[in-house]
Amino acid sequence: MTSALKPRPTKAGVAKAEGGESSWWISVGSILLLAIAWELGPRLLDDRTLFPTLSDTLAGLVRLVSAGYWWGDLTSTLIAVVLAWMIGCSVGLAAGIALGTVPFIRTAITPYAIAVQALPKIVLAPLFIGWLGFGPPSKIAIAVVICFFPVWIDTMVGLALPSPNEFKLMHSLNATRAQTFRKLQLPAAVPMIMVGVKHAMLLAFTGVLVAEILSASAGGLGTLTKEFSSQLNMPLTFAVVIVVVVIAITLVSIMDVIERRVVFWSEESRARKS
Amino acid sequence: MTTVQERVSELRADTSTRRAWVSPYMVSALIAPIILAVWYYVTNNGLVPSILLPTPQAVLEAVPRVVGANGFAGHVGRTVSEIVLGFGLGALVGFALGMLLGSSIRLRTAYLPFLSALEAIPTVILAPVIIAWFGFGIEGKVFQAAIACFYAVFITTLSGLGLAEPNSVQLMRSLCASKWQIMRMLKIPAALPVIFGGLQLGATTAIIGAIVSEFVGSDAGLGYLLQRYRSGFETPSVWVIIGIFLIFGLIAYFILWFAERKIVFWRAAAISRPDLEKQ
Repeated sequence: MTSALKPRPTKAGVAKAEGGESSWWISVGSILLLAIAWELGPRLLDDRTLFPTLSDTLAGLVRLVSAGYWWGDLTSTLIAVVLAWMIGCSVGLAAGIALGTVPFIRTAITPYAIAVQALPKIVLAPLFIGWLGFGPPSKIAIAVVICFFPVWIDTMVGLALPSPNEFKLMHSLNATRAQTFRKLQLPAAVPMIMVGVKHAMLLAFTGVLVAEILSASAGGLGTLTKEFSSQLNMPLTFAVVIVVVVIAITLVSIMDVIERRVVFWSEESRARKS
Repeated sequence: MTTVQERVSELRADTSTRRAWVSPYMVSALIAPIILAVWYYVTNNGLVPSILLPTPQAVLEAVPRVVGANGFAGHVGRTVSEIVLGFGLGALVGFALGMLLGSSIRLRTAYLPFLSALEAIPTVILAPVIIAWFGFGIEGKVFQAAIACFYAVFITTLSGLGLAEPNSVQLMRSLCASKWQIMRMLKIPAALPVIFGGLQLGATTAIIGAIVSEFVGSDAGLGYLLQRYRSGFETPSVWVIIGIFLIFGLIAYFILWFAERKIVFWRAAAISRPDLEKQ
């Protein structure tokens, strides 16, 4: 997914510290406004079954968290996401290094990379469920297929980032292929690979959720959402959605921290620090 | 006795023949037949059960069956309009909000903390909710596609608007340019290449949103068709639909690539060819 053949846009460009104008009241005001709209909107529409109010949703969240039955779903989703992410990243990294260090092979497989990129890989989900059944294997397989791609492409593009002159310099210093890889290509590629790895986390999550939504007996947060919403139990549905959003934000924050630790030398993280 | 010149031309001939001997494009052209041959071999010799992976001939035979089936054009039209409408809506809202936040430092600092939260949300989790809200019709699919692609366009617009050189902005100011003029003549042109990256990203996510929504519950469309063929165990037809989705993806990719070359023409030299060398 993604136009992964290009470096993905990041927030760093936006996140530069800008002016000291105080604007906290806009943030707080917007949250309050949103909360009021959420509370009053459904009452005005007079359809609290389909559109639960904020208080309904919070009550649902409390009910969900205090109930015991869904912890299995939560752990099953989390384990699937992490496993799929790890497998996808390893495969993507291996493929990227194998194919990205040799320009010849890179040019040869470019059309296929574009084709793989162009295929919305989510269409394979029903097939995987047919092949591997409703259990965790199909979830993980779908997520791996979806999430390995950006890691692969970003590794490949990243390894090609140094300019021809830099390669020539390494060559003129009699560097071996391994040395060029380790001292020139890898440091140039890692910031980009980290972007792919982070993106892969979100994609793995998406893949697992889709698989869970599609296979009714799989268990997991996706299945839970689907069951609750088909019972038109919207407060509980929204509660699960909130849980999913919280998990997603947590995962991305963890990835951000890792990214900052790993690629401390890149321009982007330097800009972030200053 | 060879002169230097002869030696040089010898060397040249040597390298050029070596180049011509295996060009990467030849290897490229060979990969597809090899994949086909492997596919043919493993399926025709019973190494992979045909219910999982049909033979290439069976898929080929299924093409006229699927394409000629009653209402096929309707299903294609439905999915295409979902994707186009959803992408259009999501990109429009994303662009507008990106412009809004991009032109006001105050709003930007106020909303920045929420942006990463927005990035993290896997919109597919809302698919069952959207089905409950909108039913099996087209509206829900358009909505799902729109929320799937909104963020990419929004964040690229926002970060692109910050790309203009501060010096150029100062120059414009010193020439008494209005805020709108700076936006139109400097900031938007500077942002367009980045925004196109976002549009490409958004196109793929919009397609995913529409497909997922069709899978979860729909009364028409290619995703619906795929689910129907699958539950009827017509595996070759399923693969035909996957092939159609691949063609969709490629068309979307090349339309956006072409649009990028035409609209961001000043960068056309840099985008000469859609390949991995593109930076």
